[in-house]
Amino acid sequence: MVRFRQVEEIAKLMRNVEQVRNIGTLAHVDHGKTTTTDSLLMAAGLLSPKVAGKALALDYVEIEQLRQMTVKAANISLYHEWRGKPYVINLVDTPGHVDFTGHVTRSLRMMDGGLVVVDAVEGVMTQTETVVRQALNEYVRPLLFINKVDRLIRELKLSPREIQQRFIEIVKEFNMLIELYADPKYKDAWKVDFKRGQVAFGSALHRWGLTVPIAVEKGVKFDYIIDAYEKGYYEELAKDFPLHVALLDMIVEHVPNPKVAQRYRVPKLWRGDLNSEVGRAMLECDPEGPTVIAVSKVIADPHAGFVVTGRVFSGTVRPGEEVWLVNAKAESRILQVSLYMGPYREKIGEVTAGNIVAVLGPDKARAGETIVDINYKDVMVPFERMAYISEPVVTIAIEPRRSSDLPKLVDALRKLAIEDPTLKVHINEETGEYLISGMGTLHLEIVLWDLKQRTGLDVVTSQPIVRYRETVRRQGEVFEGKSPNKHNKLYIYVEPLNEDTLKLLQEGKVYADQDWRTRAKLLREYAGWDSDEARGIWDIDENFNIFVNRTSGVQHLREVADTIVQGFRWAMEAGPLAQEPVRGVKVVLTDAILHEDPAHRGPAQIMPATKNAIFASFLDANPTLLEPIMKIEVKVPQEWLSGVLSVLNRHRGKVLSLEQKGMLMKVLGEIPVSETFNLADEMREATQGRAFWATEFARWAPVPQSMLLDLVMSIRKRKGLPPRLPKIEDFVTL
Amino acid sequence: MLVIVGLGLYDLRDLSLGAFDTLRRASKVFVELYTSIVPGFKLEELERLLGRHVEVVHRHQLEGRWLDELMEAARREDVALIVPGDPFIATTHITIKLEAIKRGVKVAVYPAPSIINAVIASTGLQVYKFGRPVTIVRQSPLYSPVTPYYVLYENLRRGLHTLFFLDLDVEEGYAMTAIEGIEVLRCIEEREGLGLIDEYTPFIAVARASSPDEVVKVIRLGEKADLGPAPHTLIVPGLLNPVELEALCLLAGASTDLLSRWHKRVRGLAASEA
Ligand SMILES: Nc1nc2c(ncn2[C@@H]2O[C@H](COP(=O)(O)OP(=O)(O)O)[C@@H](O)[C@H]2O)c(=O)[nH]1
Repeated sequence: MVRFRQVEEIAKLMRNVEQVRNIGTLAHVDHGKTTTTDSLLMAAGLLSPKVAGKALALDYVEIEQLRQMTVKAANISLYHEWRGKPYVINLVDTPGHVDFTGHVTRSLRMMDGGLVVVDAVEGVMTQTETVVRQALNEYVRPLLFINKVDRLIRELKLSPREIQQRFIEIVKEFNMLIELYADPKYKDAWKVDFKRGQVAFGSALHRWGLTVPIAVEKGVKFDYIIDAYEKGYYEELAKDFPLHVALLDMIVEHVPNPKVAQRYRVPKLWRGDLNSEVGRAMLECDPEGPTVIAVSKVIADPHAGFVVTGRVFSGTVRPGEEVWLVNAKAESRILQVSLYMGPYREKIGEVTAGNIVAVLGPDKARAGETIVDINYKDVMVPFERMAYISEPVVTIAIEPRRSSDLPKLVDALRKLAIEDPTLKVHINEETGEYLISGMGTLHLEIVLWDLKQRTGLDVVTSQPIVRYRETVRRQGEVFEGKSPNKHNKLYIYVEPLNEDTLKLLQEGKVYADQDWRTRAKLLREYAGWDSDEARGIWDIDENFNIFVNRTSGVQHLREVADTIVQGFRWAMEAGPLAQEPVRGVKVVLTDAILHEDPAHRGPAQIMPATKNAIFASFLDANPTLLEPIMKIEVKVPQEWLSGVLSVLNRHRGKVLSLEQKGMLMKVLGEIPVSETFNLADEMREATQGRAFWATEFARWAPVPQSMLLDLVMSIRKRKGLPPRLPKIEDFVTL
Repeated sequence: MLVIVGLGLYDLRDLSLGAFDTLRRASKVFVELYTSIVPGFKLEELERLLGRHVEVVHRHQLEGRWLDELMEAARREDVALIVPGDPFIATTHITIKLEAIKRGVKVAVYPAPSIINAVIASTGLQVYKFGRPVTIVRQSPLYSPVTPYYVLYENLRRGLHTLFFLDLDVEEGYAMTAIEGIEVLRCIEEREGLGLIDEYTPFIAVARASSPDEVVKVIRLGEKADLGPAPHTLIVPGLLNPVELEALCLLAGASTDLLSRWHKRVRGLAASEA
């Protein structure tokens, strides 16, 4: 029952913001997010006749083990009538894998409500918790869909009472997450209640679904459903109780419209002044206000150029409008405005505040960009800063099997990196190799898969290389760094940043070009910084290192501040142990002596002086390497558990919890990235392929002391560095 | 022993006889050519005159670990290092001398003409009336020092002349011209706005001081002047006494009008100070 609507009709509907909802589906992997989305799309998608025949599900990326994992957010607009009134529901798809947290936050920003799909058999799982927490952090209201109810009936053969019991348990667990993670203001209002139609249940596979109010209205009892399965007429259920009706009714009634939602969300998601013109327009979701678009993703379309998708927080987007890209600091013009109708775009005259839009034109925009009316160029505060997007942990070298394909490969890699800001593409200057770095082995596998899908190129890749970080574990002494001409002297010490500071940095609450008063206040209140020190911050780099100036009255210091910062960045890019990036270090300048004449205190003098002093103190501060650690979750039948445990054991894995889930054991643990390269084979072998498992990046941790020296040496060897540990004396000339 | 020898400004004939003698006897001779341009200098000519090999050393050597080798050699035998101009004026080589002394290596120095005494001869400005000299450095996004402008300001407030060295990166093939130097000062003027630099500010440009084709010329902002190749220097005069005034007119083709106008301005600045 696909409804065909003319775009103009939809545009009219979109202008009436009370009749718009922005939502997304969220779930633990395999709980049925894709199947659910699919059934919504098939039943209510606004497909134009032109493309109806070719309707595609949202998933374009399939991978053997984590099949049907939606990696790239895609969007569709749905049409639904509720109590005789038409509604447009913009369905924002979210990444199915938690590897790419930047993606998740950005797509959550697009939506006001989240449909959380939970498998009735498995109940609330780790990733359910993760997505609910993330949604609540972004002030997205979660609603619950209990899926795979057919399994309760057919596999577990539960009675109506037991099914009810199961539902109550899931709702209880779900509400507990809301209790735990929601802002106190919404803790009560956002808990879901069966009776009020805030929970749906059903089977996405068989396309039926109900809420309590619908069941009451239709006078259906659970016995009927069970009977349908037992007697084999369950296909009727989809006709009597279509899933999309239950879900969309629930969404229209319980997800706030964009105007209501922006009133409480804008103050939380945006750091600008709410009393400014832009602030007020966004709070009011005002179509007459200045145009503001928060970009969630950018896709390189072979025909159209870059397709920029985002939510219009204020104003009306029309072709021809001059806009400003806040992060890219670039002017641009909107060339084309369109809507998503499934995976296809339809041109449209305008899109108003509160809706999701796809535009062509601003080619310099990247996921996370804030686009604003050019007239507000100087006053606009962006939704996020670009500095914190990612810390890649694994690198592989890649080359085409046929060297004549190189230009094609390079072009495709460049586009992929634009669409996925967590992916880094770089060239090794010495070898000319193309290197790609990502958030985990799986991330890179997906990238390679995607690359193959798009280009059909045959590529050769190297063994993955783990990216380590260098850091320090205590405060180092102050060391003197001399410039090569020995006329400039900088006095510097380093120390580890505390956990609270790292947290502020990772959450993007403290960043480089922030107002210094605000920053000093945050650091003082939440991370125990001394006021003077917090005020002396000169720089914060992408790997979470901070440079602090604590000198006073040094002549000419202002003039060389930029070069000192450059020297700091240079040192942080490649630390003294093995030239891996430095992470989590505070560098403090305590004093400086500078040459009288500007010619003798230029960058070539000051940068090495800075780096030398930093490295000397670094080596004095009990340095170590940090390695990336993955969280691993394995589900495996009881009899194969010991196989899983011994695989983990062999690879420095740690088991954090063991839990019985029906027939399966669920193992939650941690494992260093460096140990994961052959995990797939070993798991298969140890469990005869019966283990289902997934990993996601967890944290950085110091490598075991017993491995440190060997590891440093092997990295140095790989990089062609002298095969000895650097000493303090190498950086202080006497 | 380490012998540090000034090469002078134009060519080998600026070497003193004493220096020449020592160079002939030294067991190793090095020359650095990165701190200044010596237009008439030819390495082959020096080697021919001395009858021996002369090794060119680079900044990264003299400012790096190579210095250890130099010191070790100087401990055993007489080693000479030739430096453009005077070895210690407007260079940072004093640290080399100090390093040697600290290591117990004897040091001998042969001074040579430097740009400072050359411009005094070329312009007629008097040594008693110079303030701090300063280098005008290429402006870049990373490093754009305003010090030269403020040194000029301080000097003018005391009625003193300012000698500007011009940025040089011999190893990169860059030498700032007088015109570029004026342009840099104009850029800083735009940012800092103390009203020192405009079309009535006299700049005395000296090109290839003390060489046979030396050019000395008073130029103004925006004026096109063919000064020939580097090295160039710039001077902005402070208060001028009658002899200096006459010298500038005779030696640098200055117009009395421009200079007396400037003189008044500087007097105003100096008065506001007092
Ligand atoms: N029995 C049953 N299986 C389902 C249901 N919904 C989804 N599945 C199956 O569960 C697996 C995972 O579903 P999918 O939609 O890909 O989950 P996702 O990983 O959350 O996107 C697939 O094999 C689906 O066919 C359901 O309602 N009942």
